[in-house]
Amino acid sequence: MATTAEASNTTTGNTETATGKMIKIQSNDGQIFEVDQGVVEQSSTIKTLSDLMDVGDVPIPLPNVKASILGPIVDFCNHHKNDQKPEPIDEDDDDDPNKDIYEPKRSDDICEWDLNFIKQFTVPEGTLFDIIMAANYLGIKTLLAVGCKTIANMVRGKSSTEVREMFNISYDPPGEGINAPNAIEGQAGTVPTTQDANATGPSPQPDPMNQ
Amino acid sequence: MSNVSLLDCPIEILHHIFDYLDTQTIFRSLRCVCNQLYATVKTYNRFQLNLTLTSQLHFDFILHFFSKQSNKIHFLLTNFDIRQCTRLNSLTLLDIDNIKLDQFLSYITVLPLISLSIQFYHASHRVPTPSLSKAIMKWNLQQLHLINESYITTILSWPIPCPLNHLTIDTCTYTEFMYILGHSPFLRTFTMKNCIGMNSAHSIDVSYPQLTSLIINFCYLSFKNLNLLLSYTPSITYLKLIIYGAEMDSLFDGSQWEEFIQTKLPFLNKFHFCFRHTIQKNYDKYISIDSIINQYRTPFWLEKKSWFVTCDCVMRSSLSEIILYTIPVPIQDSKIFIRCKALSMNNICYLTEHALEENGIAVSEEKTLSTLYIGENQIGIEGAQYLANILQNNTTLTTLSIGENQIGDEGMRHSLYILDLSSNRLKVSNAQYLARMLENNTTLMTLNLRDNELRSKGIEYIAYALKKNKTLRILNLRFNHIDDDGAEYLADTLITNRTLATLNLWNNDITGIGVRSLANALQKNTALTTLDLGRNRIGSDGTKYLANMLRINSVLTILNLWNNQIKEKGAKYLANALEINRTLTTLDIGSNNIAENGQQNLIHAIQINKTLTTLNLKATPLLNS
Repeated sequence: MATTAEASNTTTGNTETATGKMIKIQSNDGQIFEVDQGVVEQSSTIKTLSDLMDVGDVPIPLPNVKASILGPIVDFCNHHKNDQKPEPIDEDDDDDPNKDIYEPKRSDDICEWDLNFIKQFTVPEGTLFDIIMAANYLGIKTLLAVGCKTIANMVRGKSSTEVREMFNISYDPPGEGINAPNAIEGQAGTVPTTQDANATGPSPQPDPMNQ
Repeated sequence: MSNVSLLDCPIEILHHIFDYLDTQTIFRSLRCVCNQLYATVKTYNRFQLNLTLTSQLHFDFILHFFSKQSNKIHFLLTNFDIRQCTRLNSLTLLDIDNIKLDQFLSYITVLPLISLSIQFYHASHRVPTPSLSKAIMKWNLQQLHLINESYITTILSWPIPCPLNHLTIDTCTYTEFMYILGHSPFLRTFTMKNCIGMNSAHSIDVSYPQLTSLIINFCYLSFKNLNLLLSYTPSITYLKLIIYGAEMDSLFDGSQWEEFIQTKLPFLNKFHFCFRHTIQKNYDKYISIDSIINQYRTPFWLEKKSWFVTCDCVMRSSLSEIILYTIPVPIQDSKIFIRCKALSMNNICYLTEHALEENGIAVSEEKTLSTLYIGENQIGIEGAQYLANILQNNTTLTTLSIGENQIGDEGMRHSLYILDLSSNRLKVSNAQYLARMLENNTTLMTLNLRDNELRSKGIEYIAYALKKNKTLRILNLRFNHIDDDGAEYLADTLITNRTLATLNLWNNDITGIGVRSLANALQKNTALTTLDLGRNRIGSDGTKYLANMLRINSVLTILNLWNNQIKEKGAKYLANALEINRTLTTLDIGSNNIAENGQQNLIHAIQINKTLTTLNLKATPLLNS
């Protein structure tokens, strides 16, 4: 909540008034964006850099992000800066009673604003991956999650051929054997039996389960 | 335009995407897409593998075709050698009996297991399983989950000398709880369904500071017993409590919790709870959810701990409940129910309607209501009292219809425009609540109280309240056993009231005496446009008063006198009045035994009167002409 955000601001902003402190960031094509602490807090990379450099008016260079991607990211962070902070994830994973059960995480919980936000980035243009990689680089967990969930939602239940078409991936020469026509695919929704589980990795390819 | 593709993503991003996917998609689809994804899948280690081989039918089917062996475990292990899964660190065994477990465990002790979950086949309870104890020691197992299993100290020869830090069991006795904690120096998380056999007389002066998380998922503990239990675990940082059949007095008391946590659980930073209290039918003690939630609006809850509590009143036909929670628990046993939510964060009370799907599992939708229709739900007096209370704070609801609910009490205010309480067995005492509400209400425009038992005494309260009320426009009092006294109270109000436009008194016991008062009042009243006096006992004399009123009144446009024994004489009075009246447009005097002369008078009057458009003479023996 807002109070906690302000509290953490006071610890970082030691010279100027915490709430009013603006930081400049610069994309790799030279465009400069001015962001406030609410945005900085969401990006572990920018936060670390700003703490390290103790920048005055000098923009923090972000050599891996171009302006056409950084702009929307700043919008995203500005939209989310007043969000209720998620419960601090316990570093001690053992204390989560469900931690050892590897259930897929939920991916149907993207909020409407985020859905609309992510729609402007597409696979054919490559911008969807740009934004995911930028989020990863900048350490913006919420945005990274939105991006990964979007991809996950696209491929869930699709066959290999569909995935290839979707992402324009060329079909490897069948040297590995894994792309042989008899490889089981397109059955992503069915429950495997033992035989299937063994058969999934066709011989001579060792089954990855046994690695 | 950028040329980045999926394959340009670093491996950790691809793995991150896999985290949101099911094993089948990763394994059977993505893995086969290309060599790079194949390699990426190969390095991914967060799979959940579900071998549904314990299904008897499935198993027999496979056996029939592929094997003559009868030992299923052996069959499974020869065909799928789990020992090859050298990175397996979490294993769940469902529906296994202890003989098979013995066999299985001897196979898998080589695996680097950290976590083991077992659900025993139901018949194999209470048999000591030494192989399990041994295996746990061998593995140095950290997490043990016994699903639906209550007899842990029988199955395992406790103490287990291993660094078990995570334990899940079903029901735990108080003695077991103390014993396990006393002999598990590394136990940090303890999950159980219920703790039984509590007796505060057993209280001893020990504490087990190793435990940091305590989860109790389905218990019936009282606040006192919880106090005792938690006094042994002063270091917990996480506490989850789901309590059914909770006592109203202590568990729900936010100030008691506040004090207890501050003194006894200083490290607690996550407190998830859900307390459910069933409202007993005919339970006389009424506690408003506002008074409950108010205790969770202190700086301790909101600012220091940031624990935001919600108090719901759930109303449904079977039973009503008060639920206090930080984490909602799904309610599954009713198709449609109404939920009133009071949050600690603000003062708004939300009303939501939940419609369950046919199978009663999925809550298909939850919406904030602007119109509430809960007819024929048998909410009863208990539910209604809460509903009334909630409506005081609700700012979203504009229409409420709660017909046929056997509601006894009511009291609602604020932005409600229409209130329908028809056929609710409302009695005189209930009218007092209503009256109190009406006195101060500034929004309600329609009040439907038809088919209740308010009687004249009840009408006295309502009539009195309407002297102050300045918004109600429509009042329906049909079939309420109102007699002349009631009519007099209403008349008294109508002299001064300037807003009520429609008054329905159909099918009551008003005679000429009552009508006299009403008629006198209407000579002065300037607001009432519709008056329904059908099915009363006005008679010819009563009609005379009404006719006199019609000579003077210039607002009334609709008058219904159906079935009132007006007779020929009454019709004459009315006919004379109609020659003068210039406002009445509709007059219903059907079923009144009006003889020929009376009818002729009326016809004459209509010829002079230019405003009357409808004259109902149904069920009257008509003239030939």
